[in-house]
Amino acid sequence: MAHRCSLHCIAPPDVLLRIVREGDEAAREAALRTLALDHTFRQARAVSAARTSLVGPVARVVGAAGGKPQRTIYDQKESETPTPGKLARAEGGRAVKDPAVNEAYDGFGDTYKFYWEAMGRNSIDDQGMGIIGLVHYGHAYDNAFWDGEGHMFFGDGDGQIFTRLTKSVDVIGHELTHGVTQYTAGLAYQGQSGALNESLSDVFGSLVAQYAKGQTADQASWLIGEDVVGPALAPALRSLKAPGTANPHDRQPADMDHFVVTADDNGGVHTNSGIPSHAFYVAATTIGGQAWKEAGVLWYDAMRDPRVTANADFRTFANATLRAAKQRYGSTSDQAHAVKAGWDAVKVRCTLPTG
Amino acid sequence: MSDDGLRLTLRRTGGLAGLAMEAELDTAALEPGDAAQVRAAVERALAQPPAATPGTGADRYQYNLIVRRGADRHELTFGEAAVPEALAPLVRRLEGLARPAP
Repeated sequence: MAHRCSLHCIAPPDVLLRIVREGDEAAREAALRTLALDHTFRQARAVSAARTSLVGPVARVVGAAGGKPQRTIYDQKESETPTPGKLARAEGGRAVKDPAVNEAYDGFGDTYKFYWEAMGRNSIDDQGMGIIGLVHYGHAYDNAFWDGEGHMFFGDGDGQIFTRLTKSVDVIGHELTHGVTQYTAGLAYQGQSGALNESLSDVFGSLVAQYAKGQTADQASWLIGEDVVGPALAPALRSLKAPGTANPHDRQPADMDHFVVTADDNGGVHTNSGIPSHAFYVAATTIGGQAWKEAGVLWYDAMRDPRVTANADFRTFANATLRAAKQRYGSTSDQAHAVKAGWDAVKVRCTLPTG
Repeated sequence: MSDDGLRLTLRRTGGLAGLAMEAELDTAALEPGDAAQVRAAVERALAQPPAATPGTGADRYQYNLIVRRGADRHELTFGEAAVPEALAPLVRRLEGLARPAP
């Protein structure tokens, strides 16, 4: 059944789109058919993900073909009201005077483009869900967060810990990826599943930045938040390359021997995320080239693996990345060995499936 | 509540940075009127402790407020989206004093 190919198709949507734009008539027809089928399957998957999710869909654009984000930015004017404030910029609207509004709009654009072109995903829920940002949240608020109900909030920082949080495309990618995780694996925000949830946000946040800059794995900084940390957290929030070294307060472990048991932060979700994040770094740099093309796609496969459920631990996720590597490249491929090397480096025991 | 001073420790963890912050306040060091307001707010919160329901979303703050009065010790844990109304001004005030935890 040829059309089944669209589920695990080797040709990603960006290649198919290029064929649609530039290919001859027959190739165009075939690519359009595949894209349409692929969209149907992805829609079915997202619907089932949305069903099991805690919250309903938000601002869904039903039947949209994909490829274009639907962004809305609101100005909270330093209030901590949890609902959208004054409309500041809607999709297609011109740039405004306020840089926070434009940074959020552009960062969402970069993140949407990354997920669409590199992963074949149409927004947060894969159905073209609206991307909503609330900027200037709170007074000197040192944080950005995803509320679980379709909104991303960005503070202005106090100038010491953080500066304006919209300045960082990897932070914007981090927050939007929390939405993607909610609509895929639905990883519970506690303990190992919570640390995986955090790690995926750092991995894909970093990939969004690398994609926007056209960097290869060895050119990338693998740092999170370089553009938004204040003097207290300089030079960066976290490092996927060398967990625990990003700033003087960074306590991230780089392997399971140093896993941190704590009641803080939902069981140290921003601390133990260093372990799976470093596994990704090792896998991506071992494969080489642009990290989103192979390592990133394998991690995205694992996020959507039905065996990776809400309470998945590191090992379950590691096994899912190895199954994905086997399916895409074969169990003896360089990619499969690189992924295994990543998990070995952080001492997460997992098995490379053979056959 | 007796006139004994309350010693408060607020610990805030989580957030995008995952940075633990701590602040302390001893009502014995405050003006009498201010101390009475703080004690009343804490008293109200202890009488109706917040439910330990897991919050939704990601990168939100988690708060632990430890209240010591003589040999008594109470601990309240709540998420950023569920700060008890009586405590909101006190939490904000303590956050203003908070420093990264060692």
